[in-house]
Amino acid sequence: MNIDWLSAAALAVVIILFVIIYLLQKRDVNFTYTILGALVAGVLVGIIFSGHTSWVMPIGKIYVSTLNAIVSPLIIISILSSITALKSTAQLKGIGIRSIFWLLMTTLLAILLSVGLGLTFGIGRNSYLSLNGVDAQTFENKVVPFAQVLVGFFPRNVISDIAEENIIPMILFTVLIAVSYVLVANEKQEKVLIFKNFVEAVKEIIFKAVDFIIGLTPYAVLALVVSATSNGVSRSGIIWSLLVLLLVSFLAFILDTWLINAVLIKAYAKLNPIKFFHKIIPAQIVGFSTQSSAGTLPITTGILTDKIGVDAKVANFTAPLGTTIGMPGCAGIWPVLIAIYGVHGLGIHYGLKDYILLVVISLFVSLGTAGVPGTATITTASVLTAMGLPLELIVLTIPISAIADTGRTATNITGAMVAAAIVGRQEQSLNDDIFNDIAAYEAEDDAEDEADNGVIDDVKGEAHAYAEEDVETVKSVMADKKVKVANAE
Amino acid sequence: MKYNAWKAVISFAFLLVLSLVVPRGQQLAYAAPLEDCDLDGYDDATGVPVPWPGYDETKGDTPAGPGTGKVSTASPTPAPSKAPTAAPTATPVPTAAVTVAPTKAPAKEADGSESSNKSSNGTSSNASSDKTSNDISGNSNNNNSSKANSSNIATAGSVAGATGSDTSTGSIASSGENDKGESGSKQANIRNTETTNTNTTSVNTTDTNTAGTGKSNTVEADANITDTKTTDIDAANKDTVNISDQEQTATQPLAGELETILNTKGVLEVKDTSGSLIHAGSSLIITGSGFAGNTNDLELELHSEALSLGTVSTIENGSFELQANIPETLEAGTHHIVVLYQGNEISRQPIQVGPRAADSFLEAISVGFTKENKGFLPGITVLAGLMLLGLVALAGSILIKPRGIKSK
Repeated sequence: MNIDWLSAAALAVVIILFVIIYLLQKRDVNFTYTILGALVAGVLVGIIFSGHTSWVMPIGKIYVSTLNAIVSPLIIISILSSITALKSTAQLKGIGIRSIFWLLMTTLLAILLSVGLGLTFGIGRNSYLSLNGVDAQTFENKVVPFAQVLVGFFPRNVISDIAEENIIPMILFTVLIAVSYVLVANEKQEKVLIFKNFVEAVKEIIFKAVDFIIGLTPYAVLALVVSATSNGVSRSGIIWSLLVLLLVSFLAFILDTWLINAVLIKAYAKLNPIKFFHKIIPAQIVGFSTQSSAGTLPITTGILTDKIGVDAKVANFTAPLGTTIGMPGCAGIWPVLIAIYGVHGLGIHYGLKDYILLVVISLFVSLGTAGVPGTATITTASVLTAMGLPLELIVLTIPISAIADTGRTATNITGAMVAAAIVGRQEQSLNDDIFNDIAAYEAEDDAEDEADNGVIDDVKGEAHAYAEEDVETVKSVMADKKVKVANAE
Repeated sequence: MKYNAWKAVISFAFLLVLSLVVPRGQQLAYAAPLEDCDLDGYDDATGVPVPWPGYDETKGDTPAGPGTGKVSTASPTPAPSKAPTAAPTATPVPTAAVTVAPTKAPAKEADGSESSNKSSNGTSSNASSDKTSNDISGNSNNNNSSKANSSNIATAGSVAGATGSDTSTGSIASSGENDKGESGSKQANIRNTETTNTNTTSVNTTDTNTAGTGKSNTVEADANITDTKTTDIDAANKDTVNISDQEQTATQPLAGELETILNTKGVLEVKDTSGSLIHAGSSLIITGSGFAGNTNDLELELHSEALSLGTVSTIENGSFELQANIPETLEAGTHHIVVLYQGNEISRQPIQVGPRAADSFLEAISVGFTKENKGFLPGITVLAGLMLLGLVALAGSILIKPRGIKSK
């Protein structure tokens, strides 16, 4: 038996680098930096062991498969959790419907923006993607009749839909079950409480699993980039096109965050956009650096109630919902841009109907997302699967995805806060005095009084923490705040 | 003994009747199949001389048409060493058959058939043929010479040899004497009207040792030609090819085989080696299947610019694979991969070629703003639509009085 010693050596080097990544993670080195380091190391190892990385390649493939495996459970549990959080049909009809509508609307606008930018810049064109094991020409003439697509939206057999990764039928069925739960719970809450508890328990487990899988990303990036570089995939044409993709995605984040949201804030929340964005900067910064919508949630709700003036019942409902429904960055801009990049790079003939389908599917997928770092990878996998595009596109874009995750999270958080502000306005639950800082001093006094009573923390300290942009301080302050509120209650 | 004498007479009479009644072609059809795979001019199994090197009856080679006595003259030839070349020396006439080939006819010089003329006598001093063929590639077709020669030998004057898909107009002048005078001196004009002719090749053959005595009534003048010293072929007044290597000529297919090769339309599969879209500068893997098996020198070209990609040979099952690069300067659009044999198109496969890969950031960022980006207009339309929606929303918010503003 002939052993390719160079392949063995490549595997050994990769394993050593895995150990280094593990040590870096143990020392809490920034996730993005770790991925970028893995990217650089992967390129170097790929060049050194060019043509001898067949033993390394399975590692990356396993990651992609595992990622794909978590998509269906995550979507189902996220939707169930989101909708069953509505405690009554009244809430479902009022805040619930409005929140879902505006969260989806912000995502829809982000999707349309991405389609416009992606087509205009022609991202992926002339890049001639060569995906490992994927023949571009098999996608070239892929045509699915629209009627068939439309029929395929609806569930036929939920088990087979899950097994076959039919994302849209899966989502529709889950929404059906979730809404049914709310209707039943409205009358016989005790009877279905066990279901709610079950959903919440599973959600915790699934989110932990997602967290674990996402935590493996640096290892996967290393293995995948080694294989890709070794096989010559990372030729200049592809590298430049990936850079353009990154640039266009950040352009989309910027336009969505500060232009489209500004119009929404002005037109529907009747607030001054500049003042609004000035107030939410701390949340955006935390989201940008932590890349976690869920992790930024305490800050998001705090700013919504204390600085924007959104009523707590709206803020505490819409903002958390925004970490599982909507997410214009992770479920709107990124998956759509990746899909268009793949369509162009693989030379697939997409017509108007196909792009409409892409918009619709992306919107549906945005119903079930998770506010954890790297969730865009999962939503992208969902969109690509639903569109019949190769998952290997994710592999190709993972390195830049780590960088884009910063902008994505900030965009998600902004979208959720804009939706909350609009819902607050429409539900007449928005205090303009707070927004206009008229009640700022009173609020501060109140906060001091409450702090004296041991109920709430020091707002001044909180503001100081924001000013210093000390993420950890902000987190700990907000955690303390929650604990104190809980104790007071 | 008497009985034996009668038996001999009856047998002889029976054979005589048979030989008169049964057509000559049938006589030949029942001859033992001869096969000369090693191209030495002898049957591989029996050592019997064959009409021409490479002669293979199992593949349907016909040494002669009706009325030719090629086999019968070849078989009794006692001299084993030189007899084999006797058959190919029938090339003077055969060269007319060569002209049948679609491509430029080869010129051939064959020696060494002096001793094969024990059974034949005759002279073929000059055999010339003028031919035109539809040669496209201008390549010399050496393949057909020997086999086609035979057919023409067998059919001298009867044009049976011109069975290929390509036609030739040839005139064969040969002289010879046959002691029976059945076909002693013949002039034959061979005309094949199946194809158009573009080139003219004249074949002059001088035979210096062509004594032959025909014992069989099937002997043709061609068969009397046993030695060809020189063969000059003037192809299209510019190509003069002298071929002395009989092995080369032996590999040339018959006109029938040529027809088979050209009519066996295979299919092509063209892919980029990296699995990406085909584009200017791509490295292609061209896989062919369903072509005639064991065919050499299939030419692959990229059209419409007629760029040669290489030459391939098919294996037994008629498939081949070729890796070739297409130039970076190739214009984007539809092109064709064309398979040719001796300049004749066998099959073609359209391919869509994209422009060359963007190999700089500037090219990659500006690729959307070229006329090739058909998504530009829809993209701008979507962005403009969004902008319009935004303006409408803003205008609406100004016109409609705000509600729900609450003070603490």
